[in-house]
Amino acid sequence: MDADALAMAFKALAIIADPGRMLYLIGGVLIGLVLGIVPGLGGLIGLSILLPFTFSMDPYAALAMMLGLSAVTVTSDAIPAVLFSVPGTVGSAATVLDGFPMAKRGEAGRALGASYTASVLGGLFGALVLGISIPILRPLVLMIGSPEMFAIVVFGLSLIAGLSVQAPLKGMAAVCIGILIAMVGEDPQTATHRWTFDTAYLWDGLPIVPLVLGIFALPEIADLAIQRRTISGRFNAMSGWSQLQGVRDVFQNWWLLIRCSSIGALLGAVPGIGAAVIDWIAYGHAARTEKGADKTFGTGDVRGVIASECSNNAKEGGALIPTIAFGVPGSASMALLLGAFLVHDIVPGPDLLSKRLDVTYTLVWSVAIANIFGAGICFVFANQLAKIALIRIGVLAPLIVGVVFIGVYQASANWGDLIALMLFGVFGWFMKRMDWPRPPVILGFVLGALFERYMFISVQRYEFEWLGFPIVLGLFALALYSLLGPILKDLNKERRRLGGRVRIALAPPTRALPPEAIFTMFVVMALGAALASSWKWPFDGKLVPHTVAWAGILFATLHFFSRYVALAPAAGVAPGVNAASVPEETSEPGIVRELGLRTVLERASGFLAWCLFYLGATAVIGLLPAMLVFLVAYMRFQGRESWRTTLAVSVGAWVFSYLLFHRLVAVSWPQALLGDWLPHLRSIEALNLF
Amino acid sequence: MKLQALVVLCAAAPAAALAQAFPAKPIRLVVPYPVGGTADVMARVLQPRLGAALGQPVVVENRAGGNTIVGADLVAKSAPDGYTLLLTTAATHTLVQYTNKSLPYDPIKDFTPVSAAGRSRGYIVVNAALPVGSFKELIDYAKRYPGKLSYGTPNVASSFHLSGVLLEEAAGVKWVHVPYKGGAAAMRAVASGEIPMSIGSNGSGIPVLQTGRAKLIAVLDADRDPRFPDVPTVAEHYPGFERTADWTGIYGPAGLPRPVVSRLNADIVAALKAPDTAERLGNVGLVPIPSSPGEFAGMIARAVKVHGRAVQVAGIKPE
Repeated sequence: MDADALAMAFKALAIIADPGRMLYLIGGVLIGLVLGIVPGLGGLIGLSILLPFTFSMDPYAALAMMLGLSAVTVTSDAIPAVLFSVPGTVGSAATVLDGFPMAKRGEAGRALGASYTASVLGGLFGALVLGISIPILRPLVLMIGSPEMFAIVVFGLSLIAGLSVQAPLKGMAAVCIGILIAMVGEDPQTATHRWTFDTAYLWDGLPIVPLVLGIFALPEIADLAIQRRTISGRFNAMSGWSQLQGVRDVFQNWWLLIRCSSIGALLGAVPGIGAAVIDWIAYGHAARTEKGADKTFGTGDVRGVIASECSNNAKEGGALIPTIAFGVPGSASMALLLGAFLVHDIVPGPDLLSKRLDVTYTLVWSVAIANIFGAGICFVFANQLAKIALIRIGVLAPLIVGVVFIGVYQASANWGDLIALMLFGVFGWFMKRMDWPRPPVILGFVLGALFERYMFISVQRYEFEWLGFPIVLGLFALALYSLLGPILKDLNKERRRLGGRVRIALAPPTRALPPEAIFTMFVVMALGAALASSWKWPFDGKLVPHTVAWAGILFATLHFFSRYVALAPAAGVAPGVNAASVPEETSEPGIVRELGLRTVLERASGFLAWCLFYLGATAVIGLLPAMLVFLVAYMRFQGRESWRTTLAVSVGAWVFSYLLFHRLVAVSWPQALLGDWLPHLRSIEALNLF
Repeated sequence: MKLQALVVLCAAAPAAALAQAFPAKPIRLVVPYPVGGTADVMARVLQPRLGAALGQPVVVENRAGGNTIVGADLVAKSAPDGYTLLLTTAATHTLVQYTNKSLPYDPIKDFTPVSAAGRSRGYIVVNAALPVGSFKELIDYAKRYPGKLSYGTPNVASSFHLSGVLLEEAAGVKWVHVPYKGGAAAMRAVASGEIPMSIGSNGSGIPVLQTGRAKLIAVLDADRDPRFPDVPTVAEHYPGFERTADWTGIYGPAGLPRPVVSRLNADIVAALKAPDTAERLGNVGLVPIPSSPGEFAGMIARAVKVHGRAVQVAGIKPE
């Protein structure tokens, strides 16, 4: 950085330090923190509400406020992720994997301390990367063309191996499922409607929020409700200290922090690779490289929390790079920010990197300062928040479900969101119980669409010449390395266990197939159905879906054979189902063992019935009123709470939701029968809930 | 005679009363796109001033999905009282009927046009290294290398893709379409040299032009862009050429009472003409096009014609 730029940087600091602007920045941070905590709401909705108000503001204050808001949603979103396994935004789904087991162990304070510290340091790192790279921004962005983007996507996909260390084959099959889900909607090449079932809802593809909350949040809550326990049996009395323990954890793992923050900042700069995958890629990287990670990750290893949390905050600085350099917004939030830039006559491009460098550095400072305030505020409240883990599940489960439904509906204000949530929830619960890794589904979903798009652009533009580009080759090599290692290991594990020479025995199973085998068969059949139903699509439209479906069938079948059709040792052990040797529910010892299959299934159906009751009530009396009925009914009759507790908690939570969703966010509620019967109600603003 | 007058009066009275009381509650402005797009920014720029003029808050509601059909259907089926309006691009009413076998509404009959809002300018941008100095040279180049020159657009069947197709037809050239995800991405690809040419909006083109790595060769519109007065329009070379519509407009459901339409139109036109709105829209690259409901209906009819032809030339089949 030359002296000129340095002078500019300090000039920008003086600009942003103006008390009025600082106040707006902090205002943005506070809104961002609240939006981050509420599942389903994120920076995007906040920015869109704020945007019109910023037009008449001083441009620096406007940008500070918007950046302040979007920078910290990924700080506070760790709170619900750690405390009750519900990612606050899609960016903290990976935090759940280790943060929630820590909370179960009574280490919520430590997990939160680590996640805030990782967030603020990651955020500062991202801002620093942005600040330093300003002079080389444009060549940097230009270097990444469609072929390179394609290679980055392939590399990202290859990291699933790190996300499913125990069973890479299942991970590969899961990633194929994710890619196929991403194929739903109008195909960008041929405009074929793929698996839209003639609904407009599916036309533009599925939104990510129902997928993430369905696959991650609902199954966890269901299991808690099945176990009928508090999240954590105990609470660390020295909780103030446990937060500091989390801070210490981060500093002890400084090298991991730097690596994962770099991943966040770099990938943040790549358009399309958003918050939803960056945390997974960083987590996958950590799981592959940290010592002993294959044993401890996923069971409450603080390093998993650090990897996920620092990367998603570092992303914000990186995401500004293409926006500033070329006006290419990498995400919807960036598109809104770009709108704010333009309205204030700040045109992205060379000007921002030379004449108006002060603006650019103001952005850098805003991100940095927002991260500090955001984490600081979270620290103050962490102690109180950590006690949430002690709340009885009969009270907590309905609260979470109640808010998750509304948050999901917010995604596109369509009944489809709620139905998708339920379907993914059921699928996710089975995946969890059958010990199938769920993160690859998300990774496949986000990267799948990019995979297809950049492959077609690369081929259209360069035919096959691009496969020889140096960056592309380098990334492919990296991908191959991260992919093949674990798979070969997995295939060989059985072989080694059985002592060298094996023969494959296609013997009929000697007892009934275990549920996991049936689930695998279901997956194969579903993939087959996907193939069959897409047979008549035009070639360009079915190329990727078909390839992926075949691959998924291959991986699932391989998995099936390696586990259930015995690999018998050469020396005489009887062939048969060797499922006994497969540690079932490796990541989650026990609720079936503890309660018995029958009880688990009964309670799971009960929980599903409660969710369907909520949906049904929504159809009759509207989503928000249904929430109140659901809260009261669940707490009183399922949770067996006293009327006093039930009413106090339900009404309190409901009033908060009413103010937040109806008054502030102005959600337009699904039309319900009650509104059809009494249309007059819809004309009263305060009651327009039906 | 008297009786007739009375009947007319009685029929008109509720409408008049409605207009006087209108608006008595907040107005929903449905945008059938996710936040951040052109239509969304348009709505959010209009929102404060329109709200002030109407004396009621205007709530922007993003109802994306199904190529704008979800949001449009919602408005088409809402009560024609002026409290539910639609702000969308031309595609919703003039293009989707050609790309879809069936729609849940009639794009013309089920809506009342209120006012056009803004339009973009269409740019033809080429990489700085492409050995062409003018629009004519570009066409000559394309003729020398038929089927070789590729151009990027924001999407397949987007307004810019269709303009490209019509241009191919007018100039008698053949080039290759590459759909990107969004206009900015296509323009960036021109700057990096990934593709030689892009057809897109001024909003996405200007940042790239400023880098000096790309040059503006021609504009699609009927008028030159005052920002680049030396760059010709396509129609100057091919007089029959008419670009496909890329404007946004505001609609109500069919049967919106005339007084309500007038009130809304007056306030929308005033908001669009207000200096601060015009400046903000100008910064985003949008040209405000305040118009009467009649003028707007004319624009819609014209766009339906142009799109019908463009879709045919492009060989796009309804899905």
